[in-house]
Amino acid sequence: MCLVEVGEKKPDGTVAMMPKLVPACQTPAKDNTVVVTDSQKVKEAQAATLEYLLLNHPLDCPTCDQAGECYLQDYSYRFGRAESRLKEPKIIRPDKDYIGDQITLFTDRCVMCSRCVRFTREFSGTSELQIIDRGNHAEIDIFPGQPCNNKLAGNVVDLCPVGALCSKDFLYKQRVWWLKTRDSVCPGCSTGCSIFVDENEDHVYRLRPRENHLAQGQFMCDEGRFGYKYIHAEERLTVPEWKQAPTQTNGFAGPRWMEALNHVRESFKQLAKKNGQEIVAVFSPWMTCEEAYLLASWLKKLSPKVRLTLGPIPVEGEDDRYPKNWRGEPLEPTRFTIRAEKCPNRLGVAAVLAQFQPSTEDFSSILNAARAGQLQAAYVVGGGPPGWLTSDDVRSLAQVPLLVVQDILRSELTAAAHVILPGASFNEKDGTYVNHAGLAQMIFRSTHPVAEGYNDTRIFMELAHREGLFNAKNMRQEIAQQVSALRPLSAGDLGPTGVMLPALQPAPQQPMGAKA
Amino acid sequence: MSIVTINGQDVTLEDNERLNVVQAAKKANVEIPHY
Repeated sequence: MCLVEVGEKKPDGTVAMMPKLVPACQTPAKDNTVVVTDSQKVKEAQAATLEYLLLNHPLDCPTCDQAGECYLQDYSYRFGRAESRLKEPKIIRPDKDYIGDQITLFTDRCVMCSRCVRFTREFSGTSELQIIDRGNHAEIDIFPGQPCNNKLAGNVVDLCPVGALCSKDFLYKQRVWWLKTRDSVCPGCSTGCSIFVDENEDHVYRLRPRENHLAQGQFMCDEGRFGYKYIHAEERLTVPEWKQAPTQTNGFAGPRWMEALNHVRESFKQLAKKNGQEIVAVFSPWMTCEEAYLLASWLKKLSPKVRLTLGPIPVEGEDDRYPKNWRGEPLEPTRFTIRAEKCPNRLGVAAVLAQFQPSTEDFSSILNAARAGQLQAAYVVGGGPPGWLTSDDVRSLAQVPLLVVQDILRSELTAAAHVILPGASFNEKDGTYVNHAGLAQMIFRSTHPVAEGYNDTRIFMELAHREGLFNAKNMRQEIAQQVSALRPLSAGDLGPTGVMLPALQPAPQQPMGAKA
Repeated sequence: MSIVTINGQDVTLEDNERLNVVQAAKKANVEIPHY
């Protein structure tokens, strides 16, 4: 497809063109190279190549998942011819339903670009895919019993320019032209991959990687790609609840929220007047910097003695690095890392807390205080996937006389709570996440909050009686003035790739592969 | 530094840029269809 005319400009100014067309993707651009891409000869070659590619390609665009984002469709519209001259029947090859747990192959749609094969060989290093047979009969396949199930496998579906490799998760769920796309950041681990969130009618259908070389590069892992499903779980909290409900509930949502927020605001105000030391707030590493800032500033305004703490940081195993060799051992240089720290914003929340409370409070000391009966009220914010706090943690927190839980899913923690405020998941709010390397990236709201339009920032703003609506850009500018570690956020708009925060960058490690 | 001419339009490449013709054409906002 990339055939072009290439020549060389001689020192005397004349141009000597090569007699035949050459593939542009294989030709290095050198000094004095002359390229012609719009001559009749090139156009005829493009049309002829497309005709070859379409010889055995089925005309199943109406049922193909890729339609609408298909290179073959776009190219044949722009460079191809309207009709097929083939009179013979097309070669029909059986589909391969099982390339991997998440991947299916529509064999006859393949144009043999071999991007997927190169990805598994060069990037993941796992080499599950290859081309079998020759010429017209060439096909993508796996070795028997060796499916493509590595943790980066979902990327071959994005790489496939046509509808040959399809994601079983997304297959036949949506036509791509109905999807609305917003930029975001994957909350799955502290790598903080830049992603696109594809949504229609307030339902997220897929996450796709967004190229950002400051964050992760061009790809994302399957844990993040498919790990977002909890945001649509049946256990999602949608209305505020509290144990001692007022006798009169008229069933309307607005008054319910107002009552709940008034109840929390007044209770905390009363308790803070008595002794701020007896109030704690547990922040989760899924909160955005803006949320952490709003909650911390409200509570510290009630009483400077209120104790703020960062909740437990989920860590699973060790960092998983790619590419790997056939034994599963990581190879140097590392091109992709799935981090063991399974939360998106530990650094950002910790930076906000450090500003408001110079002496950091340990989560276990808060639990001890709760068990010892030294606390009167606790405000716990969740916001991540299930299983953040252990049963022991919850039992300790349940000792507190007033436990306010703001979370997205019904859990042991909400069962122990006296007031439940439904929060928002990462796709329902605007904000900032800071990844493991100190890169601050913006996330954007792609769907409406399920909790009747309330998300975490709105809850905190109403609790603090702040005027106006939440605006992430203005809030970032305010945070930049108040929190020294987050000063680079003063731009407000961090751009598509984000902004590095020098104060939060980890200490430089010895370069990988360097000998001691 | 080297100069490549794409459809009559000059594109300047830095010494450390090792591009193929598809990438060089992209710098000149010329799309070469490729897979």
